[in-house]
Amino acid sequence: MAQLRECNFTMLGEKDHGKSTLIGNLLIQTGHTTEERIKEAKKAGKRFEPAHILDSFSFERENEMTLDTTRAQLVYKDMIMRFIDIPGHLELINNALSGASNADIAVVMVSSKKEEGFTEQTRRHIYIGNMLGMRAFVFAINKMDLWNYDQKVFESIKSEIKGYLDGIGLKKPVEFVPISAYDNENMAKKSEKMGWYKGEPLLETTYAAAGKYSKIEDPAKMDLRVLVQDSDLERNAAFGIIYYGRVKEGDPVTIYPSGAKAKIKEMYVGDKRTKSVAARKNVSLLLDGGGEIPRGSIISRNGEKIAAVGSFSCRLFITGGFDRSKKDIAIRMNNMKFNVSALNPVKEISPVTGEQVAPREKVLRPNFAFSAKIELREKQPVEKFDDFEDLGRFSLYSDEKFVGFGIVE
Amino acid sequence: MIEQNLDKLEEKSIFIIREAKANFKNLAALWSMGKDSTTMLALARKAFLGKIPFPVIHIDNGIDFPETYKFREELAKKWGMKLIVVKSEIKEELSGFACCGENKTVALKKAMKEHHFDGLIVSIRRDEHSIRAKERYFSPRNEKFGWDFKNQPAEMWNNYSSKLEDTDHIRVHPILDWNEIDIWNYIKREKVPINPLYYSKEGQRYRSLGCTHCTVPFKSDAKSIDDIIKELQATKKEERGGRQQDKEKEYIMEKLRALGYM
Repeated sequence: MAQLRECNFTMLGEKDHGKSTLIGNLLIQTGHTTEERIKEAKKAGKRFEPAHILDSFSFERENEMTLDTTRAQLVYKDMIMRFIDIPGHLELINNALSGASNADIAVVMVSSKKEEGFTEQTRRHIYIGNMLGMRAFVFAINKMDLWNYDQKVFESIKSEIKGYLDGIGLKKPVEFVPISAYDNENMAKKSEKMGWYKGEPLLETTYAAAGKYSKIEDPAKMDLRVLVQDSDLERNAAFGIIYYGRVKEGDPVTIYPSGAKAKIKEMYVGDKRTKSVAARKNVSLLLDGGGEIPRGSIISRNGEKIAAVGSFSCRLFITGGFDRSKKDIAIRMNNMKFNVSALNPVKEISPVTGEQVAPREKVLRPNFAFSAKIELREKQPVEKFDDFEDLGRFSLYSDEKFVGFGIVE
Repeated sequence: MIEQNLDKLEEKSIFIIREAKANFKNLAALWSMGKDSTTMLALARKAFLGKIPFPVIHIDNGIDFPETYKFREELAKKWGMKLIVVKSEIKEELSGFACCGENKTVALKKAMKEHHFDGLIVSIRRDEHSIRAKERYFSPRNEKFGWDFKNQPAEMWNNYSSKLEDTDHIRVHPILDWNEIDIWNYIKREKVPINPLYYSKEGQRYRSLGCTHCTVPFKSDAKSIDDIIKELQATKKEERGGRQQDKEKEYIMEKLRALGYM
């Protein structure tokens, strides 16, 4: 069988707008859940909720809410579509980030129900999705059944969303699809109740967005970047992963942050020696020279330049307020923990309106974004998020607690 | 059943195993001699130039299948494992929930304390159970080995949890993303040795292996890895259908895992 393409889609949006229901029903409609799972989901009592295929904790079912992220996959045409469900509650935003950070495309749920609508929390999610580097946003305007599938309601929400996207300067491709997730209208199949809608149903729209907008990197065109996870001084070996580019035996390389020069003597994938390896493979490198190679070092080819070493500009999204003058701030990049010696916010940005102001207090407020400068206690190599995604994004910690994330600008 | 890209799965699993090795003072892995934990060990060998750089724990309740014990001895020797066998005392009257909760978990707790392990690799997969689908790659356990699923730590991209003061140890799940059929495709591709109980004998085979008390075989003629892959491509049945413990009561997996079960 030919290898299927793969893409990760994250749900975004306010609680109770129908994110889990959407995934649950897509799984049922496309035949990607078993009788046993449906039977198990029915145990929760009351009427059958498609959301309960995802919401598997007793707490989630009893409280009719998603507590933590999960994922489900289905095959559509030639693609494995992985749908990541997240909780919509403001106080569960860390759980939402844990899921959403793994996706390429966002599916934003916006309930058309009068008392629900395009909320502040949904706006925050979109802002976050944009920072995380989503390639496209598919807006699912849900609960259209409440309006008898009226086009005017759809158009009015669409223009409200567009106004917001302009306000925060979001320039990614966007699509809008009217649906009823619970009633399966315009989900896997085109709805007959919305003849005025000329586009494709939700599943096809998200599938097409992945095909059109997913990032494809050609190792031959990229600079070399190998992340060192571990090393062995005795054998002068480095264990890590080629994130970008291609490496060959005999290549002359520079190791950051030390700046030491070395030569690739031998390379192994598993225990097999190999002459040439491209991204993204886990490798073991035996080097000539280079000295001690600390965990977190980046190996590049001689002549290639790393964007920043030690201090950099970034954009932060804060989920837990903290005092930036405290001494216990750290970032984690590719699971390498680096201590921060200074964090200076330049601007505070409202993710709800896009409004920017000079930061007023020492405490960085939760649920706000900041443009900031960070200095690391020890020099470490850092890349711009737009150039080398994997080497330009980090989780932020204060007092060992997760307080937000950032991208290098 | 959905067949994913093995290179991508391998890339992430090896990254996680290497991070586990670098982040804990005393790392160990659970090995049940089943297909999943054996595949995980094959990945660990690939991560570290052919050697498994941490001890491997078998929680032995004395009632595993004879084939399983034989397989354990042969592979442990072949791969040069540092094998720790932890005996758990089986109580005849217990089965299912009580058995897994009592015997396996109590024995595991004892072994973890004795050896001061702070990281434990466990080969669970999301597609086995909707509760396991909610797991993190690095998942902290408290003093009582409980899984505080209402307060799971943030885990963005590949930034995993560290061990904090109130954590007893961290469970590491390197093959969380794999589907059952991916495991078999990988076993085939990498020629991973496998417990013979998975192959059909007299018209029956095991799809998921527990101990002799709670595991039931099912009708199958799959006598080779290719046969098993073909069978899985067509099946609509759940993998753990032959496991008694999953069936007893509502939310049994949630309850078991809250007590320290895998």
